[in-house]
Amino acid sequence: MRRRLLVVRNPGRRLFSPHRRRSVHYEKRKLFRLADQIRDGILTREKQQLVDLKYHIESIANTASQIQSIRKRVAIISSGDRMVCVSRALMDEVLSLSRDLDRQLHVFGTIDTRPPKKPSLRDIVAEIDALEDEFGGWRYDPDQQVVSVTTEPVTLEGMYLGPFEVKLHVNKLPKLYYTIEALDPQPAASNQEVTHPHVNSGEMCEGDARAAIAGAIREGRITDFFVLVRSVLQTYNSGSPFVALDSWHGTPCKDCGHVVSEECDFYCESCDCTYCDECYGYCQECSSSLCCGCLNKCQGCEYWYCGSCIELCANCGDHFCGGCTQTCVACEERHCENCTSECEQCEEVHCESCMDDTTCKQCEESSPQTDLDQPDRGEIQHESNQEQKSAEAQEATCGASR
Amino acid sequence: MKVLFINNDGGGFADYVETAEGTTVKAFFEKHMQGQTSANHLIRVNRQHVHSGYVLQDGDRVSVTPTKIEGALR
Repeated sequence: MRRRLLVVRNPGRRLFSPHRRRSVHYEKRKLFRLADQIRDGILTREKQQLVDLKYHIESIANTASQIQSIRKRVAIISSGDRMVCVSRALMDEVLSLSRDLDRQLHVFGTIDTRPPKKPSLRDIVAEIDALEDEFGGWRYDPDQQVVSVTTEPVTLEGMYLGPFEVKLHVNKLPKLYYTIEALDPQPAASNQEVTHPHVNSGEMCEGDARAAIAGAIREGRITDFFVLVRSVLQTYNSGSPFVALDSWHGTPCKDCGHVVSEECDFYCESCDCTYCDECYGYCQECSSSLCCGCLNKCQGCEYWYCGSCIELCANCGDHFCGGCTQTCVACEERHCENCTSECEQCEEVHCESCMDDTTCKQCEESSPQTDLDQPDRGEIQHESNQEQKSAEAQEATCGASR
Repeated sequence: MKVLFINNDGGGFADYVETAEGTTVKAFFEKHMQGQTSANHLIRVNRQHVHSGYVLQDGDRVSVTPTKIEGALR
C-alpha cells in the first residue's frame, strides 16, 4: 500500500482554505482603496482651502487698490487753493470700502494658517483599523460611499435616546459632510426631526467641538473625528438645544401643566404661552383664540370674550359683553341691565345714579307740581271768601269814618 | 524624547513635544492638561487604550479627547 505523506508547511499554524485567504486579501485591498479615497478627499480639501485663501487675498488687495484711488482724489482736492468740502458721494464710498475691508480682514483672520500635516495612506489605514477597538466595528457602504460607526445607546439626564450611527460621506470629503442617524429613534414630541437635543434632520450642532472636528478631518485623524462626534452626542447642553429635554415629550400647559405635543398645543397671542385644548377658548364676538386666563366671562349671557370685546359695568364693575350692556341716556356710561331701568315718563334707559325712584332726574325737574303739592279747591274757595269778607269789612270801616 | 501630542480639547492641537524619559501617561496628562481631569478624557497612545501607568516611548502618538463636549443650536 502506498502511503501519502502530509507535509505541513507551516507547523503550528492551522491550514485554511484558499478561499479564505483570497477573502482576507480582498478586504485588505478594499481597505486601502477606501483609505486612498479618504486621503484624496483630504488633499483636495487642502487645495480648495488654498483657492479660498487666494480669493481672500485678492479681495483685500482689490479693496486696498480702491482705497488708494480715493487717496489720490482726496490729495487732488486738498491741494487746491480754494476751500472745498468733501462730497457726500465720496464719503459714502469711503464708508462702504471701510466696511468691506473690515469684513474681509475678519474672514482672513479666521483662516487656519497652521501648516497642515498631510496624512499618509498608512496613517489613514491605521485610523480606520482603530475604529474597530473604539467602536467595536465600522461599516462602509460602497454605493453611498459612507464610512459609519455606531455608538452605544445614549441616555441624557435619564432620557433614553438610543444608539446613533455616525456617517462620514467620503465622496464629499473636499467638504466635510457627515450625518447622524438614530437607530432607535426617540424623537421630541414637538419635532419629529429632532432625535437628539443637538441633532436636527440628521445634522449635529458641533458647538465646542467644531474646531477640533475640522482639525481631525484635515489631518486624516478619522478615529478622532468619530470620537469627537460621539462626545457631543453624549453631552447635553441645556443652554442651547433644538428641543430641551424637559420638553422632550411635549410642552407643559401653562395653566394645568399637562404636557402637550406640537400638534395638539395652542398658542395664546395675548400672553405668549402654550396651553392644552382644555385651557383654551375663543372670543364669542371676534373669534380670537386665547387662553382661558385672557378671556372674560360675560356675567349676563355667560359667553367668553376677549379684552377688546367685553366691558365693565360702570356701576357694579362686573364684565359684560356689548349685548348685555346699555348706555345711560343721561351720563352716557355703559351699564349692565341690572344697573339700569326705564324712566316712567320719558321711557329712556337710565342708570341707578341718574334715576330718582321711577323717573329720571331730568323728567323729575321738568315736570309740573302734582295735587299733593297744590292746595285743594275747597281751601282755595274758603280763602277767597275770607279775603272778600275782609275787604268788605275794610270798606265799611272806611265809609263809617267818613 | 519626542512624542506626538494630539489635544482634541477646544481648538485642537497636534505637534511634537519634548518629554522626559520614563514619563507615564498620567504624568504627561497632568503636565500638558493642567486643570483637567483624566476621567473626563479619552487618552490613547498609538491609537490604543492604555492604562495610566504606561511609560511613553520615543515617537509615541498620544491623543487626548474630551468625553463630554457641549453641542449647540446653530
